[in-house]
Amino acid sequence: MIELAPHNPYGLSIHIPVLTAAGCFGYGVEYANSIDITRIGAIVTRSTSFYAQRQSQPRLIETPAGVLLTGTWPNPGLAYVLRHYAPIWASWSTPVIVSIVGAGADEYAAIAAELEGVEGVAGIELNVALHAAHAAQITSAVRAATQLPILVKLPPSPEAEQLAQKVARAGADALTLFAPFPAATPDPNTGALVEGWLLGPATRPLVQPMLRTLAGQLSIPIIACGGIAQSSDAQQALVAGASAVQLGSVLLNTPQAAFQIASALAHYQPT
Amino acid sequence: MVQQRQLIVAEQRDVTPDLRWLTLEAPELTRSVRAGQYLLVRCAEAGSYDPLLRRPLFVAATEPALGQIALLYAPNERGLAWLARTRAGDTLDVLGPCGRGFTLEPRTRTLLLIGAGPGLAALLLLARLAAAQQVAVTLLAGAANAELLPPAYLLPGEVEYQTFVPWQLSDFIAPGGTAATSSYNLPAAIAWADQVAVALPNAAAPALAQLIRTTKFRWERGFASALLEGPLICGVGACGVCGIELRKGIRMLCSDGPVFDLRDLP
Ligand code: FES
Repeated sequence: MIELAPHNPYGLSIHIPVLTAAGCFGYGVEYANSIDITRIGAIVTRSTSFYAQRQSQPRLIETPAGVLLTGTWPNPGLAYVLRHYAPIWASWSTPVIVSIVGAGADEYAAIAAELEGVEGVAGIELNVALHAAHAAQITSAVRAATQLPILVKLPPSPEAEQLAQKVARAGADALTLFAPFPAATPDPNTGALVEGWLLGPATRPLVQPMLRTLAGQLSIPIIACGGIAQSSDAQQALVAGASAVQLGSVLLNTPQAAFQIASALAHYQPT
Repeated sequence: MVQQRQLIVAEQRDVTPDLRWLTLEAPELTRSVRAGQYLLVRCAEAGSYDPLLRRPLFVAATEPALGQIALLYAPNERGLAWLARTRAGDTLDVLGPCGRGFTLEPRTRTLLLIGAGPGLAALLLLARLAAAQQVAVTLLAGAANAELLPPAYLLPGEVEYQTFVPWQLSDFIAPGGTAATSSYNLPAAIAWADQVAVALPNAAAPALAQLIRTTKFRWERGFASALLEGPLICGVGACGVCGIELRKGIRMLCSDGPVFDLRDLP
């Protein structure tokens, strides 16, 4: 077993170092009939806010070996998720980590408080992509609201090292490195430059050196995220010092990659 | 449920200079797939994720006796251009069939189909399935040029097939739901039909609904359905990119649709 929250009273043990990344595997329930979820280390859900986010018009624009996400992503809100999905998660042996997003520290903390004690919820991942400067403050607020294991997904930036240290001190149990890269690409319909977040295998060479640098400096587990598409990519991230990996964009292409890569790593032993 | 399958290419050929007909060995799908359902086809070499996203292609024909299905597409971008280079014997990685397709109502004896663009492939299958049940079918197909229209030989001989080139949405349906075409009496065709199925740009839906409202005395659920356009990425409602606002709230195009009853559209 791999422990992703060794200092947390609940702990967060996974049997395979492969998780799904937020946004690319829904709430897990969408795939429950077609994918053997027990063969995945853990599922990180779509980012969920306190109230439903419905009016957004997200887009995926394809780029070389990747996609640019634009717009805000919809979600049905916390109450819906707890009512409809948590009872299903409670019947699974695979841990489910709820990715949460808020307008500020108070909303993050309010969501975390609601998740505390919910059967089927094994941990929380903070999506702070839009609030990176306040990531430590948000982490503190969430830490005060819940004892659940907290993963914090940080955006890649030159300040990532400092930020990671601050967030770790603020109470994060593990860090997910990294969220998608801020980027821009021409709109295929209009040619106008569209800003968004880049994910996909194209980002992996950017993530790898940052991961290696940070892994040697942090005392809490790191979960590598960014462009991992094959088992060899995952192994390289583990060798670089990650305790586990998250699979994101590859699942948009092949959701079955979650257990295909997990199976390939089932007998992986860190050296 | 989105199943990953490895399907072997039986044949691939041009049916027009702009359209490819791809036949796949898929005996397990020939009887279960519905018109309007789609396959998410991986369009990259094994091990490559460029392009990253699968291409959604509607099933255009099924041949249960041969254990084959066919897809019709225009290889007009890099993923589909890759697909167009595959040959008989190659294996394709597909997910699906995905989504909810058209339902041919048991009482239907006359079926009007109207389509343009990629969704035309789905109407070809619906026309074939309906004709096999002795339903009288009229298919109206529009395109910017004749090379983008499926050739008539892809349809059963008894299907009445009318094409419109160059085609403008307003040729069929003007804003506000008046029949705008000078060359075709659409209200008469709607009055003739027991059922209508369309695959048109989404902008056509309100005007078409209005035209049906003014043409049909009574318009029951199941009478008219539309295959809507939009992103079809994951096929199961997981990634969240394809939400559309219907009368009953948000639905996911990829898994709740892409075919919806026209009465449910706003
Ligand atoms: S395409 Fe992913 S939710 Fe519809």
